[in-house]
Amino acid sequence: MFTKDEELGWVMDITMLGPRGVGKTSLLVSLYDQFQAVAGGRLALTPADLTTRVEMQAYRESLRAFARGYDHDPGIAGNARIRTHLFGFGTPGRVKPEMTLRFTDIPGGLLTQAVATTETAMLDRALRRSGVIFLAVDSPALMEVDGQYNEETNKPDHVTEFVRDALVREANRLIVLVPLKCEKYVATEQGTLDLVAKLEKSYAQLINEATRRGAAVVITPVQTVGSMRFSMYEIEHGQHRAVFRLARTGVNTYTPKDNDQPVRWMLRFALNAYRKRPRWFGEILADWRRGIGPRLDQELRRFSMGSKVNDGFKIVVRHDYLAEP
Amino acid sequence: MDREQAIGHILANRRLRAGEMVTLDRSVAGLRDALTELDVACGELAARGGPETAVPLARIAGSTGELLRRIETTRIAIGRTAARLHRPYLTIGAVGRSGQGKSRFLQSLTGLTDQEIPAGAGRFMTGVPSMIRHQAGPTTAEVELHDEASFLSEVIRPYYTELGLGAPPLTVDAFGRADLPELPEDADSRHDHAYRHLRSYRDHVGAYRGLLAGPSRIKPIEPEDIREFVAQHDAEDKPLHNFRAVRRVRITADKHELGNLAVIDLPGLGDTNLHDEMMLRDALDGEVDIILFLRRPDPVRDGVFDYDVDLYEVARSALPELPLDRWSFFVLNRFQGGEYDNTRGIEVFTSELKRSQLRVTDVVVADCTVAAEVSAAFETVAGHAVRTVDELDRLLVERRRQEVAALRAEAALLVADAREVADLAVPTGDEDPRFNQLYGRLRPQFRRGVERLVRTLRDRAAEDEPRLQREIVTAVRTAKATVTVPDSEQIETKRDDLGSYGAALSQFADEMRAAVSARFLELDRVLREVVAALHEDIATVLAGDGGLGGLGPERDRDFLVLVAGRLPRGDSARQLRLAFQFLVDFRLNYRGMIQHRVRRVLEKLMPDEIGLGASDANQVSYTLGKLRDESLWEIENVLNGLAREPHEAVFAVAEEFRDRALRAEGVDDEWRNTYKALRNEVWPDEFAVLAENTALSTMWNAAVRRVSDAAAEQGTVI
Repeated sequence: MFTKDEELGWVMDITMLGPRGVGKTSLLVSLYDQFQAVAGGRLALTPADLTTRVEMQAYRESLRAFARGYDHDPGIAGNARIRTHLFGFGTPGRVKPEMTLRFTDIPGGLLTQAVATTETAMLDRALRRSGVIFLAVDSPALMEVDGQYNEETNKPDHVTEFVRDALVREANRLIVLVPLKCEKYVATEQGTLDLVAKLEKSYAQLINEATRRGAAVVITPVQTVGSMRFSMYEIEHGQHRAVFRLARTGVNTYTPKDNDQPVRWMLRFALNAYRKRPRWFGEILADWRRGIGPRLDQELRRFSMGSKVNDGFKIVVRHDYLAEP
Repeated sequence: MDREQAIGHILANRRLRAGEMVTLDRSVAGLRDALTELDVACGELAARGGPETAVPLARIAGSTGELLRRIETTRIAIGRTAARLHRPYLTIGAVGRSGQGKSRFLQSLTGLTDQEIPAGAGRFMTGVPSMIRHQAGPTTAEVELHDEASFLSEVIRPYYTELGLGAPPLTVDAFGRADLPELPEDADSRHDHAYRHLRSYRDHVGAYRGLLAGPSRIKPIEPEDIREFVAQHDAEDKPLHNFRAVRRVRITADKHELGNLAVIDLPGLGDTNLHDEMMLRDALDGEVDIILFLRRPDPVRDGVFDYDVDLYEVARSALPELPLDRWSFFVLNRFQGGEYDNTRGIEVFTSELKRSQLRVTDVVVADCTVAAEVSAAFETVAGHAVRTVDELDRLLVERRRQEVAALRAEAALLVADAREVADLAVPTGDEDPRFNQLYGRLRPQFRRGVERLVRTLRDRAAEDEPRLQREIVTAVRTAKATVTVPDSEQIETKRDDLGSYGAALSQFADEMRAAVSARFLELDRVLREVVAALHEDIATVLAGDGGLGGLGPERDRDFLVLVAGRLPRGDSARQLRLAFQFLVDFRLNYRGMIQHRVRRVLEKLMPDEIGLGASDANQVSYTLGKLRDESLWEIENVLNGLAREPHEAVFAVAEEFRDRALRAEGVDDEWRNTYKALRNEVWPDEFAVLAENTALSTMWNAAVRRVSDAAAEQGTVI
C-alpha cells in the first residue's frame, strides 16, 4: 500500500484504469480542483511535479469552458502513453508534504493494443504496487441506447482481466468504480438505481473476482462538472460522439459534485490498512507512522469519515478496511 | 347569452344535424340499392331454384318489399327533418279561425297594417300562409306560385281522393274542360262543402291559370297588392281568384324586435276546406317550430269545441314525433270594456281547457290590439322557443336515427334468412364418396400451407419490420427538417408579447411538443399495412392451398370476411367463426403502440422540466435547439426498439389463428362441414350438377353480402 521513495518520501500508489476518453484526467483535475473546498483547509493536495502542474492548469480551463455550455466534453487528444501524476498530500503549511499520491494513468489504448515492453513493464509495476485502483466508467455508454456503446467504450471484460492479474498478486486492494458524466442519471432516484444496477451487471465478472479474492469494491458516482448533462449521440462517419447540454436553462456554472469521494474512500481504506496492519508489517508501518505524524492521522480519519454510502454510493464487496476508522 | 345568440346557437346545431341527416339518408339509400339488388336476385333464384327454396324465397321477397317500402317512408321523414334543420331561422306560427284576432295579433307584433295582413273582419279569408321576417328597409313582399304539377297534386288531387271522385285530372286543361264527376250519393254535408270548393276552383280556372304557367315561381309584388293574392274578395266585395294559384306569401318588415325569428300566418280550419288542412299540416311539419293557437273566448259562454280539437289534432298529426305540449301555446285575445268584455269568458275557457285533452305549454292572455301586450306575450313564447327548440331538434334527429337503426336491424335479420337459402340452394346429392376423396387430398395440403406460413412468421418475428424502420427514419428526418427553432426576431416578438423570456421559452416548448408529436402520426399507416399484409398472407393460403379461391377474387381482409360469411350457420362451424372473427378484428395502431412512448420522451419539453430561467434570446434558442435534437434522438431510439414488435404481434396472431382453426378440438369436423357446403365452388369441375348453380349462387351471395354490409353500421358483421 505504501512505499518509501528516496526523493518523495512515503508514496501511495493509485492506478487509474479506464479506456481513453472516459474522463480519467477529468476526474483527477476536478478532484484536485475541489479538494480545497471539501477538505476545509485541514488537508492539502498540490501538484508535486511541473508537468502535472502545467497539465492540470490547462485542463482545468477546458473543463470550465465545458461547464459553461460547450457541446462536447474535453478530451486529451492522442494520449496513448502511461503517465504518472504526483501530488503532495498532507497537512497544509509544510515545506515538504507528509506523503505523495502517485496516480498512474493507464490509457485505454494500452488495454487493447500490443505495446512496447517498457510500457507493459510500467503497467505491470503500477498495478503491482497500487493498493487502490480507480476504474473510470463512461456512464452514457453504459446507460444509453441499451448499452450499445458500452463494450467498445468501457471494455468491461478487458479491464476485468487486468484487475484480475493484479488481484492474483495481492488481494488486499480497493477497487473504486467511478461512473463519470453521470449528471443525467443521478438527477432522479430511479436513474441512480438504474445506474448502479447496470454498473453491477456490466462489471459482474470483476465483482465476482474481487469477492473471490477478498478485495473491496465500492461505487462512487462523480458529477465531473455538474452543470452539463448528457443529451444525445451524434453519429459522424460511423463514429459516435456524445453531445452534452446544460441541465437547467441559464445555469452554466462549474458545480462538480462528489469528486472528492473516490479519494475519501481511498484514504479510509488506507488508514484502516495501516491500523489493522498485520504484525509482521510492523516495522515498515511504524516507520510510516513516524513520517506522517498524529495530526495527519487525525485529519485523515476525519476526512475519510465523509465517505458517502447513499445516493448511488455503495459498497459492493465488503472489506474490513472499509469500516469507519 | 341573449336571445339572438341563443337562436344563433340553435341554428348552428341545426347545421351540424342537417349534415348528419345527409349521411343518414345516404346510408339508407345504400341499403335500398342493396335490397333492390337482392330483390332482383330473389326473382332469378326463384325462377331457377328447386322447390325447397321456393317458400323461403317467397318469404324473403315479401320482407324485402316491405322493407323497401319502409325505407321510402323513412327517407321522406329524413327529408322533412332535414328541411326543418336547413331552415335559416326559427319560426312561430299563428293559427286560428277567422274572427279570433289572429291578424290583429300579427299586425300588432310586426307593425304591419291591414294592407299586408288583411284582417277578414268577420269574413273568411283564405288558406294562404304568409311568412313575415325582419329585414331593415322598406317592407317587401313576394308570392310563391304553384306550377301546374304542384297545383294538381297538392290542391286538386286531395279533393278527388277524399271525395271519392275517381282518377284526378292529369292537366289543368283537362280539369277546366271536363265537368266534375258527380259527388257520391252517400256524401255528408262536410263533403258537400268541400265539393263546392272544388267546383269554384274549376269554374274560375280561367282567372288564375295564367299564374300557374309563368316562367318564374317567385313573383315580387308591391305590399299594397298582397290582398289581391290572398283574399277572396277585394274591398268592393268583387271576387278574387289569384289566391288559388298561390302557395306562400313572404313579407319582410323592418321590425328589429323579431330578430332571427319569423312568424307565419297560418290558415285556420274555418270550414271544411281540405286544401287548408293539408296546407296547415304541411306548414306545421316543415316550417314551424312553435305554434300559437289564437282564440278569442266569447264574453258570455265558451268552451273547448270540436273545431279547437280538430285544429289541435291536425297540428299533432303534422309532427307526431314531438309532443305537441312542448311546442304549442294558446294565445287568448282579451277584449276589455263594453258589452264585448270577455274577462269572464277567458276564465271560463281557461278552466275548460284545463279539463280538456288539449295540452299546451302555456296559455297567455293579451289584447291583440295593444302592441305592448302582444309584445309581452311574444316574449314569453320566444323565450320558451329558445329553451326548447334545440332539445326538440335533438329528439327528432334521435328519432330518425332509431328508425334507420331499426331498418338496419331488419335488414340484418333478412340477411340471416337469405344465407340459409344459399345453403338450401346447393342441392345435396350422393357425391359423398367423391367429396371424401377430394377433401382427404386437400386437407393435409391446406394444413401444410398454414403451418408453413406460421413458421415463416416465426422466423421473421425476431427481425425488425423494414417498412416501419424506414418510416421511423423518414419521420425523424422530416421532423428534423420541419420542426425549427425560432430565430431571434421571433423570440423577441414572443417575449414582448408574453412579458418574459421564460414565458416565451415555455410557449415555444409547448408548440414544439405538438409539432414533434404530429410528425409521428404517419406511422399509423405502416402499422395498418403490416396487418393488411398478414391478412393477405392468410387469405392467399386459404385461396391457394385451401382451395377456397373460387369464393371471390379478393386476397385480403375482405376475402377473410367473405370466407367467414360463407361458413355454415349455427353450431356446425362455431369455433371457426370465432377464429375468423379474431383474425379480422386484429389491428395495430399508432395510439396503442407508439404514441405513449413518444409522449414520454416529449415530457422533457414540459415547461416544468426545462426550468424557466431563460434571460435572453440566446438561451431560449440554445435550449429549444438542444431539446429538439435530444427529443428526436431519443424518439428514434425508442421507436427503433419497437421496429420488431409488429412482427411479433403478427406472428402471435397467426399462431393463435392456427391453434384455433386447425388444432382446437372438433374444429376438423367444422372444416369438413364447411367444405361440404362449399364443394361446388371448391371443386366446380367435379360437382357438375352443382356447378350450374354456381353463377347463380355467387350472384345471390354477392347480393346478400351487399345487404349485410349496408345493414352493418360500420365494417362487417359476421
